[in-house]
Amino acid sequence: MHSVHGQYLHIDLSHGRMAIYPIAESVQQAFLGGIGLGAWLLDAWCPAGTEPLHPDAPLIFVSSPFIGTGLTTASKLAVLARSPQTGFIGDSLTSSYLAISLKRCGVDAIVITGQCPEWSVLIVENQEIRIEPAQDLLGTSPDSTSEQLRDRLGKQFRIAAIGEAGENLVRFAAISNDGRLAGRTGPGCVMGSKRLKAMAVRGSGRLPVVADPETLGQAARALSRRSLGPETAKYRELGTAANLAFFNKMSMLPSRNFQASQLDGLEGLHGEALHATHRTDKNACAACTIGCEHHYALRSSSGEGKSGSTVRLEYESLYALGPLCGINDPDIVLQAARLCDDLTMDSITTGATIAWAMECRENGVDLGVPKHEIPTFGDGDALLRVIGEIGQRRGLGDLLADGSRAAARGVGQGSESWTLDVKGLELPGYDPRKLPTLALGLAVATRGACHNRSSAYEVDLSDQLAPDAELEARVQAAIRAEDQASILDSLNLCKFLRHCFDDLPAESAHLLEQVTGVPADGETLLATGERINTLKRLFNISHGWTRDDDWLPSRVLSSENSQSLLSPDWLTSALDIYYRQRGCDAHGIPTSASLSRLQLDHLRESASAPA
Amino acid sequence: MYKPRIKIELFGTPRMVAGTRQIEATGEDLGTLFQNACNKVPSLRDHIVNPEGTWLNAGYTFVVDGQFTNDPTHYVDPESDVLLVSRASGG
Repeated sequence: MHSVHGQYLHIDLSHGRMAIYPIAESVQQAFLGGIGLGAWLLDAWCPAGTEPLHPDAPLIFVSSPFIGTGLTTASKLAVLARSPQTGFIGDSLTSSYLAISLKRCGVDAIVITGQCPEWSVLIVENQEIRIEPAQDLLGTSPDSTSEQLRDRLGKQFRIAAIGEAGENLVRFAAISNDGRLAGRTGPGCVMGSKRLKAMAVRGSGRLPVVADPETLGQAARALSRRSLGPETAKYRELGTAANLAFFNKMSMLPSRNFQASQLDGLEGLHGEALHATHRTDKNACAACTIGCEHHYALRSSSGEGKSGSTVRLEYESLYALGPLCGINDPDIVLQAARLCDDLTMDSITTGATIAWAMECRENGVDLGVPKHEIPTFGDGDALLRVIGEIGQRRGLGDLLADGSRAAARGVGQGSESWTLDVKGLELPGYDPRKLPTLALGLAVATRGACHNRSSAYEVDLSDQLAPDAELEARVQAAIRAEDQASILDSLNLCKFLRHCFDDLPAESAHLLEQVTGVPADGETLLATGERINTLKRLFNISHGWTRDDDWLPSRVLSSENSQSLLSPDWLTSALDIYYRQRGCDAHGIPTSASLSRLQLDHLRESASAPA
Repeated sequence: MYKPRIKIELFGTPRMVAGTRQIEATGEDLGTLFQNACNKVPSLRDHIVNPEGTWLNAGYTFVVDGQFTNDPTHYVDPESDVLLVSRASGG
């Protein structure tokens, strides 16, 4: 199999040791790379009973066959761990040169276990490692850490680092590299639990050759050209912030902790307005032709500019730190986004957890701090203060640093009924009450309420299905979206590329064949997506998942919102159909026939971690 | 003959290109309405029209009364809530 190394590096931080282990070709064919191969490694290295923050728990970084091939956007790095936020699979993707550097080290993945005796930096140079003290880096942002380390070690090093949130074990802390975050499910908390401030990687080896460089080169150029076409114009011209005005118009914009789906007075937050008033420039991830990362000027609320300070802003941060908290001041939202980046934590969970606290304040819930320290909806200064408190686990922030579900379980008083999460992961900025296919996707997504692992909003925000389509068809569409998302996530391609394919599975399969030399077609690639999703489900089952975990928040399912398309009966029926179509029993457990069909029975057996 | 005018609300790139939030044009179906809107605001043609000049390119879609549609024969009337938006979602 071309374009892979067929081996991964294991690093034991407790003993400062490393070892290299082979990956069978059958495994690489079955799981590709990225999230797929990462799920296989996580399943092997994180058996039932392994607590997310225990030194034995693994933190895994994974490349893919597509990395370094010249295919546009193929620079994603998959990061996996058992999530300290949800207790289930935690998988994130981040675009960076680190993915290419890792592959140049001659391995397809790095598995890190153990715990450093003191705060440290792990330095990986090809296939040699060393661990150095990092006391001087504590309290610094990942950007600053990265700059200091590259000054010290050399510019060829690529850095993954945590901020203060990871150091303080905020359960939704992220990992940053090249300014991009592996953001959801708390990988930065796992890294912090290992007392690992940063990992610096330098690979100087040659990238493995692809099977058919000439044909692949032509295909890569064609894909790059298409990536500059109308299919991605929105991302290039306005960025994802463009969603806000349209979603608000359509009553799909979760506001004030999902108490509303629309909010007045948001004109200043519209992507179109931000473009005119705050946008400074834009950037592209490593190896990307699209360039969706738009930067905006940071100013105080009085309009005073901080010279040269900018922040990148995506729709999800805009939603969670804006309307979800009742905030409509663009300067506050931009400052909040910057704070989340500097502290390095998931902006969706940050905003959603603060919105939960705001509703607690409205309802007189005792959060263990003086009432005036609990923020109210629309109070921007309080939002900024509490974000800082979360990152440093001070005051109210110590409670909120575990996420909304854990906080609500801690304080009770009825506040559990206004947490908006699935499996402990807070909902993204798409109101599922108007998006039924996505609603199912959020319920069953293995990492919790995640629009990226499901991608089923594509079905709702298009004419693919009639609004009154049969539930069977809607479930089928959700499953296909889920499997296609797994393909992209395991080839480490950006989802913003998906409209550049007429037939994503078939065309991805052609590319895969040109890269690896292994014959592939659309159907087998879709089956691979199904296999990966099933493996992630099996991992969750090993860690205590039951059917009750595939459930939506009560507010989303209640009849209090007259526009809602959802109800508990609807979701029960959708889940019944979903499990049947997925080859699971009525409890959501994959049948032995399904495991055999997907070859997961023997592939899982081959995955036991080396002693 | 009286031709009722229909409002098209613009979002994202169409709004930026047109320099306005809303266009009024005539037409009994989306295809005619779209052509008349482009005649009124020619800058739209450079960004959102397919190479044949007949309809939207792959980056855009209409939403009529809350339903996504790419059908140029879709009936519209002055009561219709017509939105022109980027097709790509995600964020």
